Amino acid sequence: MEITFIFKIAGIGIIVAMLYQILSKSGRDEYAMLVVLAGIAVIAVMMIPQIETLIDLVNASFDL
Amino acid sequence: MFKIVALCLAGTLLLVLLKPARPEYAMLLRLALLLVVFAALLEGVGSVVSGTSALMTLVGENGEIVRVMLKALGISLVAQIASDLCKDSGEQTLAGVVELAAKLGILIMALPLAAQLAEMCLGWLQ
Repeated sequence: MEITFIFKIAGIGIIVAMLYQILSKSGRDEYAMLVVLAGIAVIAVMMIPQIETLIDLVNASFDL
Repeated sequence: MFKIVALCLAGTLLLVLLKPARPEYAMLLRLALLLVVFAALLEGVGSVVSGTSALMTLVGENGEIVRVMLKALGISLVAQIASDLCKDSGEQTLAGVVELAAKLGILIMALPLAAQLAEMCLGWLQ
């Protein structure tokens, strides 16, 4: 599961980078920035459960 | 262990790819990589923790000291990684603040132990 998580995020990053180039070259800079923000939001939302499982793991292994 | 090495190499490759194009995604990818590698790392730590606590129960009743040590270890690990992450993305001051918070946390946790130690010493003196 882990490596696919990393590739998913890298994939989103690459796609957004391409979209940004395409949109900014065709003159729609505001849409390009919106796409970048959307990508960041998507990745942040995807990462929340991961952070939660990590914190649970830390608490469990160090019984904090 | 090799899984961690493979993960880090693959992640670094992707980071190098992403950094010039979109640095903010490189930061997010670095955070995701950190989460995954730290989770993989913690599997090993669990056995270490159980080993040390089993060993320490032989010493005697002061299992409390072992728990505080393990907590301090956990806090320092997390703080170290967080401050390195802040340094990576160029935020030196944030890294310092994170380390300061970790030291404070450990100090607060160790205070009752210091009191216990002081009482023990006073007991011996009398």
